[in-house]
Amino acid sequence: MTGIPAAWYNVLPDLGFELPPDRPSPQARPAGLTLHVPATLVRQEMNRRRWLPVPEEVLQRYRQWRPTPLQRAHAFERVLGTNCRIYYKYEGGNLSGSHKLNTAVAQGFYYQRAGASCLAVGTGAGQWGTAVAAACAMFGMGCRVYMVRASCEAKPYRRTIMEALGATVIPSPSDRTQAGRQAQRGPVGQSGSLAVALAEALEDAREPGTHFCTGSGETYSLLHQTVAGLEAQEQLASLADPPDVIVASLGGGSNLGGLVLPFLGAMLTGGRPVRCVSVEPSACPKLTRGRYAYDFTDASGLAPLQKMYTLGHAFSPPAIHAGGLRYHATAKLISSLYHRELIEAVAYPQRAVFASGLSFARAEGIVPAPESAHAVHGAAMEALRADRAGQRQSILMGISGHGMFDMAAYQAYLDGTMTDSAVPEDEIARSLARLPEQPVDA
Amino acid sequence: MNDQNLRQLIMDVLVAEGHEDDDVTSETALAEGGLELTSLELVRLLVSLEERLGVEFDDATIMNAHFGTVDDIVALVAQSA
Repeated sequence: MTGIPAAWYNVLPDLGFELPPDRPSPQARPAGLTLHVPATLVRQEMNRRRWLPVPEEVLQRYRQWRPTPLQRAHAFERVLGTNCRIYYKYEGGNLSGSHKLNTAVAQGFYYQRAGASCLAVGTGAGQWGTAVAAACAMFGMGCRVYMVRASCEAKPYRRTIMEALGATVIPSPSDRTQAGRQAQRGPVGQSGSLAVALAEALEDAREPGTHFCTGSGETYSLLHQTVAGLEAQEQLASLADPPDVIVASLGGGSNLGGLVLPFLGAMLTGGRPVRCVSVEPSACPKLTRGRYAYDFTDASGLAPLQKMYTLGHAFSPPAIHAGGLRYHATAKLISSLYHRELIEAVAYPQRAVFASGLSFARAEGIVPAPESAHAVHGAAMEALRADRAGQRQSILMGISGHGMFDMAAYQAYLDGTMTDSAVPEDEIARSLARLPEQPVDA
Repeated sequence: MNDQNLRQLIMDVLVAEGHEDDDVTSETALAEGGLELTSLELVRLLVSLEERLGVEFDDATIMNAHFGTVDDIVALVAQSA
C-alpha cells in the first residue's frame, strides 16, 4: 500500500549547479518593496536540504485524494500493439480535476498564514484558477481569477466550478485593469493570453489584503508537485518495474517537474538511469524552438526577469485547445535541466495528440485533458520507437488531469474542424527580437 | 548587534549573492536609486539574515510590511530579536 509522502523532495542539492538568479525588470521603478510571496515559500526555494516536511494542515487536505492511482495501461498497449509496458499516474481525481491542487493547497496554506485575505491569479486553461479557487475555499480566503477570454468562452463550466467555489472570474483582457485595456488595443485583442491574464492579476493585487499568487512554474511549486513523482517511485518499486522513460506534457513546468524530479534526482545521485521526455505543442514550442534567455514572465514587464526557455513575452501562440500549454516560456528549473541536457523535448501537432488522447480514453476509460493527451501521444511514440529498436521498455506517463471540461475541443476533433497551426520561423524571430536587454553576465 | 554591524552584515549577504560592494547607510533605498533589489531578492536577503542571526521573521509581519530603506530591515530585526 503506497502512502502519502510526508516530505517534498528538493532536487536542488542534488543538481550540482545553481539556478540563474532572477534579475530586476528594467521597466519596474519601485520606490520601495512590498512582498507578495510568503517568506516560507522563498525559504523552500533557498533550502539545501533534500527533504522538506509537508505541514500537517496540507497533509490533511492531500488525504482527500492522495495517494493517486498508478495503473498499467494494458488495453492501450494492445491498441498500440507494443511490447513496451506503459504505466500512467493519474492526477485528475480531485476537486480541481488536475495536478495543480497539489501546490495550490500548499500555497493557499502559506498565504493564509501570512495574513492574505484574497488571492489574485491568472489562468489559461482554467486548471490553475480552479485549483487556487479550491485552496482559497479551504483556507477561507477570497479569490479573483483572470482567465484567458478565449478559454473562458470555450470552457464555460470551468468558470462555473470556480464561481461555485466562491471565486470571482474575470475574462481577460478585461476593462478592470490598465494591462487589460492596453492588451485589447494590441495584437492579443479580445482573445487574450496567459501573459496578459497574469499582468491583470498582478495589477489587481494592489488592493489591500490581496496578493498575487504567481502560478505553478515557480521552483517551490515544482517542489510541492514532487508528491506525484515520489508516489510513482514507490508504486513502480512495488511492481519491481522502474521506468526506462518518463513522459509528461510541458506548460509552466510543474507537471513535468513533479513527476520526473524524484527519478532524476535518484539518477543524479548514482541511481538507475532514466530518460525524461517533455512533450509540448508544435504551436507553442518553447523548448524545441525557443531561446534560453532572460525574459519577462508576464505582459506587464514589472515582475523580475527569469532565465528560461522562451519564445518571447510578445509571442502570441495560435488558439490551440491545450490552453495550459500556451505560456510563452517555462519554469527556470526545467529550463536549466534542458539546457544541461538532463531532459529531452519533443513537439507534436494537436490533431495527432487528440487522436492518441481519444484512443487512450476508449481503451482505459479516462478522458485525458488536452494537455495530458500530449503525454499520451508522447508515450505512444516512445513505445513505437522502442519496438522498432527491439527494446521492451517500461514507460511512465503523467495524466495530469481529466478532460471533462474540454468537450468542445474533443467535439472539434470529432467534427474534423480542428486544425494544426504551424508557427513560422520569422514569427518566433520577431518575438525573440523583443526580449529585454540581457544582463552582461548572463 | 548594533545598527552599523547589521548594515555591514546586510552588505556582506548581498555581496555573497553577487551584488557590488557599496557603502550603505540607514537611508539607502532598497530598490530604485539604491541597492536595486527585486522583491524576491529582498526575501532572499531576509532569509539569509535569519540564518546568520538565528532568528525567524514572522511571514505575516514580512508580507504586510513596506520596505523602503535599509533602516526598515534594521527595524524588522530589532522587532524580531
